[in-house]
Amino acid sequence: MSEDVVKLKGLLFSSDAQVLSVMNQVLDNFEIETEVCIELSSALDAVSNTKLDTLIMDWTGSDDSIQILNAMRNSAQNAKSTVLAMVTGDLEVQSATKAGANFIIYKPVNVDQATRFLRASYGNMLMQRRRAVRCSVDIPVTADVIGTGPVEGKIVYLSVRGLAFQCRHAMQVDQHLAMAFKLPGTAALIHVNGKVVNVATPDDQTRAGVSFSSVPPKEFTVLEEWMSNHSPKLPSQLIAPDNRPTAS
Amino acid sequence: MRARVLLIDDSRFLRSALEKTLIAKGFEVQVAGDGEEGLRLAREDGKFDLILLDLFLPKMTGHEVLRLLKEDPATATIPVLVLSGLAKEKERQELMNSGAVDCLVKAQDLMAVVASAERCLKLE
Repeated sequence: MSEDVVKLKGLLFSSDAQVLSVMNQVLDNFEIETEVCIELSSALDAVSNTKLDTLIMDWTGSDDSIQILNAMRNSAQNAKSTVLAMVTGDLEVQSATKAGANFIIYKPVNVDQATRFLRASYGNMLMQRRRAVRCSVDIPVTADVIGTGPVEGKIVYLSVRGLAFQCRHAMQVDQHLAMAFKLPGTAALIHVNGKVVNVATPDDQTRAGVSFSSVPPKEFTVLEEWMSNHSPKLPSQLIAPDNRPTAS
Repeated sequence: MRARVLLIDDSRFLRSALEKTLIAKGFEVQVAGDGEEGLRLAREDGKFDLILLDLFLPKMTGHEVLRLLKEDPATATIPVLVLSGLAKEKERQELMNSGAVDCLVKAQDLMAVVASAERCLKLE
């Protein structure tokens, strides 16, 4: 049976034919599924509505560049995604960094430079993707909700940054809670403190999105390992970035 | 009726970017990734208003595609805008003598390519 491998997704915003040609080769080698935009409106739509692991953009320092990067950082799903800015001079370096770009490369770019550039940023993309991955689970648990007391329910989704807690009790955003639960298939007990960040009420139930505020370090490592074993494989788990083919 | 453009280019990113932008401008676009496919599409459906043709293509070069398009009465009148990686005036003249309406340097901003395509279609 073939393994389910999640591909990273990227957006390339550039109308420079040379950049498109170079990045075409490089991004294919990294197996990053890439959408290309050369106009502001389509780029804004993509960064706002698509989960992206990376945005690679021609940074002109213009309002367009800033608008796209701001939209990316303001999107809940892409706020921490990796942004690579291609610049032509030092002034653009300053403005791109200030606006939140993670990596900078000078133009014109060739395949070797772009490959090194992608390799350097690839680890960051994978780290963010791992943090964003969530697993569907069914873990009965009692939450100790501050100001309310014990609330019985179950964890229905789990990630390294938080969980979704489903119960029949009303919950509110900003409520703090603590809970301890066993990871399925293990004896490992995980203690978490967290805060409710969103609440939905499907089918007369309450589903609270909880962001972790603290997890003991050893238990966090166990949780990370468990998540890594129970979520779709990321490309790097099959091919280390350093062993990826170098484009010629 | 929307103007119909055939885009023949082997660069997936460039094809995707130009296709999306031309569609957003209101054109109907068909794409081909190599010379043979481009020629086949042009011959099967000779009703394109413009062909954007890259010169460096797999299977059949842009020069050959241009020549065959111009030799075939069914496709000879379709304006062809050539995209070239080279910017030599001599090459540009040769291509225009072969029937291209213009030759654009591919290294430039793609919005300039889109603007040229729009200009060609308006002239038509």
